[in-house]
Amino acid sequence: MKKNITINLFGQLYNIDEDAYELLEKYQKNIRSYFSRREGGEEVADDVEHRVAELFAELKEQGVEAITIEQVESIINRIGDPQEMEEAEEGEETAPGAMPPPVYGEGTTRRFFRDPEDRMLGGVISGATKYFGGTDPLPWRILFVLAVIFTWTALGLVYLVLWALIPEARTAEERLQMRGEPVNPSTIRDEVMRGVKATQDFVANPRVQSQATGCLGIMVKVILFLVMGFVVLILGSILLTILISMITFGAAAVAGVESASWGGPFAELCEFQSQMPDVKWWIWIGLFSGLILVAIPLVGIVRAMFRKPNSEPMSVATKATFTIIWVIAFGLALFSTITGVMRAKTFTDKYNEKQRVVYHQENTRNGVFLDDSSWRYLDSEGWKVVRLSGTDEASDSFDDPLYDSDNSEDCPEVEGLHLEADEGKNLDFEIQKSLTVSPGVYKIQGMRRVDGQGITLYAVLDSSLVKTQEFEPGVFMSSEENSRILEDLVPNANIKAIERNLMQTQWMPFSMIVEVKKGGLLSYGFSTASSFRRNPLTAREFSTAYVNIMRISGTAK
Amino acid sequence: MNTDNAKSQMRKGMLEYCVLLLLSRQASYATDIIAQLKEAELIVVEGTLYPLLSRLKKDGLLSYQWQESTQGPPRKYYELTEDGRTALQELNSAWAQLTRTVDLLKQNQV
Repeated sequence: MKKNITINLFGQLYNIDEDAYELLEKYQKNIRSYFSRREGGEEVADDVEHRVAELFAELKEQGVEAITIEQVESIINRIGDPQEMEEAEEGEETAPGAMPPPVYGEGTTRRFFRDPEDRMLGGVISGATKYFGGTDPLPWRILFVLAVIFTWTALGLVYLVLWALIPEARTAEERLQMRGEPVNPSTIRDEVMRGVKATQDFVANPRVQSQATGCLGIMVKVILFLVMGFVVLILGSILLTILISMITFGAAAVAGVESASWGGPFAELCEFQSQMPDVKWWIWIGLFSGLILVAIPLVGIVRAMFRKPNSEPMSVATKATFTIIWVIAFGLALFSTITGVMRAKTFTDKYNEKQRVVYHQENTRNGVFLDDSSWRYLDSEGWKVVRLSGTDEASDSFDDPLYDSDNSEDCPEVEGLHLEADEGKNLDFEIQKSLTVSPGVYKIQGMRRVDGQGITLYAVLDSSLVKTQEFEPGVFMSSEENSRILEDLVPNANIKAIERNLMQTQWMPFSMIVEVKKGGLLSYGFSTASSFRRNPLTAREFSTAYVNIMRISGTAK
Repeated sequence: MNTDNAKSQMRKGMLEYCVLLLLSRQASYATDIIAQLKEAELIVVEGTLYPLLSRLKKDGLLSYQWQESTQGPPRKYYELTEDGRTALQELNSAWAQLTRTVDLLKQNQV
């Protein structure tokens, strides 16, 4: 049983079998394109069409109700193919580049189709096998699946693209071309018969599946499906991420002006946007292309899912257009993301630099710069800066291991003084604290860190030097005395942990006993002054914290 | 020896001349020309005629009219033009000369 259609030739209707019609259409197309390049060629094609109509009319008159493919074949044989028609014109200068025979234009060219009759997912490998002349796609499928697994998902993407772009072989002629078999009326008829028989077989035995049975086949199918699913998932989530970040970033940037009061990251964003207005364009481009990126595959999937069977698939042109648009959108999205990120980075760097400069300015007093934690310490503890030079450059307190921002329980944040000599300059300072004391024995203690010699802890009573202690660099050694000092300094803390930390740094506790025989003004502090020390000044860094003075006895010996 | 090629060459050469001859007797449809040429075995396939007719019309030797038909599509009705008749006469004398030559050669054949 064949499908029959009605065609209109010059105002007359004829019933013709579908396969016969396809053959006829192919023939006429061939004639038309063959003669199209010469003058009057259109007319020849028209004449042929007229002749066909005449012959059809004759058939109808003879009582033929539906024109069959055999009848079309014989008509074609009567009128002849372009080469045969050319015989009369041979020797004459024909149009340059006139197509050479054979019939119907294509002859035995092989075209890449997907095979809808023999497929696991989309019939891509099956079609490819036939394109390259093979017959059994199974070994190629296995190879392909393995390759996909090994190249992660790159080949999977290739498969999806091929699946989307390469058309299925639907008509008998296309199936012949897929296999590289010659296309002429007899092979077309054979192919149509084969298709009919295959359908009959299928109807009779619904379980018959060409080559997908067997353990290996099923395994391949499962793996392929999983891999495809994986690829789709990854692609989908990437696309989704792009979309979401585009939306949030875009919205933030657009709403940026109003959200200045939100502070924090938005404040930075607003300044970002105000300083680089053209970034807005990139954001919109990125957003838009991100949308396209997600929309096109979605449309394709939805369309594929809900398409009625036998409705025309998208032409290659449409598919190609969509793919090209998608690729462009992808490129734009990528480009705008990269641009955006780069601009953001430059901006952030500049912003940070500016912050740095501001910080530096804020923390410079009388031309001397210390980091804000140092100033805080000095201010809160009542230290007086007698002299300080050689540390103008921004010292980074983060260099000090004890100032690690890791504020764990074991390592409480240390607020203290931190001095670092600039390149090529020497540290030169004296800081001092004063208090009125009554006679007795006092202990000055604290924590200090030096990387060389020359820094002295001194005590002066009413302008006369009472005691000094020169600091030597060293490593903390755990001892009874040191532990006691630490307990005094940092009560309620995990001493063991602190000792562990200290052993990794150059921090050491110090303690100096001062006997005060007569009450008065006691001034103590740290200094690099040569009058206090014997050793040469080699230290370039000095840090101190937890400095305090205790009265340990009421009477001096 | 395969004479098919030579025979076909001979036929091809005669085609134009015969078409003009046919049309000089009376104007006719392409169908009729085809039928007669086929009977004379001058053409193998019908389609041969169309490029030929097209060229002859382009050269001004023929002209046609469309005529409606009760059964089937409209058809072209060909007839010879003045130039066509002139060309025919030239071909007639060329033919006469050819046959004279060939006959002469045949006479000398053993």
